[in-house]
Amino acid sequence: MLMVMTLIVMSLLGARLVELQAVTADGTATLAESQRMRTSVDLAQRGRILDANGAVLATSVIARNITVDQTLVKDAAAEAEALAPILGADPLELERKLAGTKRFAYVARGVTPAVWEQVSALALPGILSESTTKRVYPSGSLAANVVGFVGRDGRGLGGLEYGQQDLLAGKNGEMTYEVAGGGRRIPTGQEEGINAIAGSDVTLTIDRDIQFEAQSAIAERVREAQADGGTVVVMDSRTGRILALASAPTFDPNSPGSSDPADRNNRALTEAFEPGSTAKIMTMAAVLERHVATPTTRLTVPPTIKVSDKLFHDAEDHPTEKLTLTGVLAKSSNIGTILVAQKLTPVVLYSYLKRFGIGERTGMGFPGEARGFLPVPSSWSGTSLPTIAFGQGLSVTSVQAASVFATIANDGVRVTPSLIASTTDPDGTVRPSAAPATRRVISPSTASQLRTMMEAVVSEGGTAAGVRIPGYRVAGKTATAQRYEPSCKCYKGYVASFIGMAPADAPQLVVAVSLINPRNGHFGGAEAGPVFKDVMSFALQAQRIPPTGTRSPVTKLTW
Amino acid sequence: MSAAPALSPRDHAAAPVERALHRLRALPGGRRRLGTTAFGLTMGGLLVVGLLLVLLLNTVLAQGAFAIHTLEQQATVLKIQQQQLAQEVAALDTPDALRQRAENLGMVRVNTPVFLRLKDGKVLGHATTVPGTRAALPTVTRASPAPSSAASSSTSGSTSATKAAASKAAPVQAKPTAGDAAVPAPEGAEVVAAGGGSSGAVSDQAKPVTSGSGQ
Repeated sequence: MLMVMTLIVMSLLGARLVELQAVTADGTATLAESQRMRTSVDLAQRGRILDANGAVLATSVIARNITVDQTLVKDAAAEAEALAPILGADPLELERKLAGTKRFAYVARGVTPAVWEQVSALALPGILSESTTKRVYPSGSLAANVVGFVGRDGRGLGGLEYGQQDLLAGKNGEMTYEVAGGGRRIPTGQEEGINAIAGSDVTLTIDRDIQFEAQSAIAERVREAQADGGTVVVMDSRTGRILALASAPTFDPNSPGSSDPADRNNRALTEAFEPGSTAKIMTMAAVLERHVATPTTRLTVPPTIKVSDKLFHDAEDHPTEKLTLTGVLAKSSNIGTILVAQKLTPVVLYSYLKRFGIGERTGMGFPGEARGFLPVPSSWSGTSLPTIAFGQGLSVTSVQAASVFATIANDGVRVTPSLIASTTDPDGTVRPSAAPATRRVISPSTASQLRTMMEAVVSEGGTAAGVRIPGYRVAGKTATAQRYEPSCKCYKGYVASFIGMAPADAPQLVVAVSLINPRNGHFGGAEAGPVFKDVMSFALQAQRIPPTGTRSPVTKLTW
Repeated sequence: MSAAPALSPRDHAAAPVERALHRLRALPGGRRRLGTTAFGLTMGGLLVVGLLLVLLLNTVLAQGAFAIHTLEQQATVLKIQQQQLAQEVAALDTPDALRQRAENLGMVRVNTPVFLRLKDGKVLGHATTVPGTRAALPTVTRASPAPSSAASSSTSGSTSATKAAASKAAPVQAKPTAGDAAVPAPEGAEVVAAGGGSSGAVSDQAKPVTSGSGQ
């Protein structure tokens, strides 16, 4: 009897063995393998964004996403109540996220590891987590409009985070390996996969100290003047490097969702406006280059002038004035400018504007950069030449305008502006940006004459005597331009600006300040001048540029 | 001797071999056979030793895996800690925070940059005094007018502040000095920014600007 029983049992066991080893062998092996094989994504470290001196403007840190398996949650309300104080969230909202039948949903994204530890200590059923990285901007809104921001998935959505996405992101890897019960890797087990490739660091030309000064100065001025916005561009005129690029109002890239989308744009690059009188410098450049007049040429400027069918005025009514060409620029006379510009042909004026970079992108490669607008001479009407000569009827971005002055500062050679100094591969190899393209626009002597003329602008009797920095020779130009409003296709409000350089006899820095729609007052010298003075004097100190010790030449404005 | 050249090399070589063969003798005794039991034991022993070695190897590997796991966890914890601290440093290091602390120390912004050229002691730029109030410096705590210690002399403008402390006066309100706004420059720089410096800055380049003789 025992014999029979043993036989039966053994047969059954044998049959099972045959079944497992022969009949369902493949399936069983696959099941076993799937239970011990684990595949995990190897997250690529996103590159950092650094300022010119290596200060971190954007970096990525380890974080966790808190997730939920709703089928395992027993009491959503109670769990929400427990989680709310740790996550700083509304319990009702949390409860909605926890209740349901989904196997996977997000509860909170990008929380710090410390927060997850607290949550995990509660051991709430159904609450899980996954590792992730979080983008942080330690200086908040500092250079936010240049650096940009990322979306929930960590991809760049604005600024250089977007423009340099491919370089910064790197490439995620995927590792497949065998694990033992406790989640430990089996040392002799099979292993395959691709390691993550970290992203590259991007080093900007921005100096965060100057950037901070520019940002706080323009933000304060925008508030005071109740303006719609403002921009500051600080540029090293010899290298084309942009040292600061401020846009007000700005935003905090750590929480981009809570800001007005318009404030996330870099206004200095994405918004074009009619430059007004700062464009007169290009007309003067053409006039001097073509030997139509010299800085001392005497002009009789009437109160008004009629060209084609249009009567042109100056900003302030005046009787007939006797001004030199320098005086025309210093007093920003529209009529004086028209008088000399009429000695140029449209094609000549157009070609100079074009060579200064008007109507084309600067070549910096910033996403969403505006091209500005410069009509071709064949489309010009009778009043186009005089209008364009004093800066209306064409549009430029703040950076384009700054680049015009940088060209004059750099003895007539335009250097393509740049924002990225170098990139650093994950292995530490530094790749400096390619040398910027350069082109000669005007002769060195014309550039020098223009600088002397612009020194008269900040002299007594000029439109911006208030921007002088004691000890330094400053040259610059004010502008008060009517602002074209696309929504009503009409002129509405003003853009007040001041663009200048220092030291005037050996320029190293150009600062361009624009204020969009200031409500109390609209003259460039008074509105934008103080910001220029603040930022320029700070930048001169930060860049350690001493005064040249020479004296400004005395120029005659009248005769 | 005349026959010697006729000998072939083969004949020449055969003679010593034959001589050697004559010297060979058969040795006594036969092949010793290992007993079956002993053989089995040897093989079994080898097998056991081999298995033990494999076991040892696996154990060591497993131990290594545990060590790696623990160390990886430690590395993660430390990385998180490092990132946390780096963020705290970054927050203290922002221009905004630095300006705030400088202002709390009574430092004042300079709007007219002035430089001191170390080569010839020349002041470049338009030197003026900067208006501002002096805050009580945390380093000046002693009441006795002791010779300036390393701590107090390292702070610009501390000479007058020490005097102020010595005479138990409130923080000096009047006569802001050049030292208020002196911008430190790296050693060896040809030009030193000394915003708002008075003429005292020129004659006394090596020391921080301490004169209270602002215009």
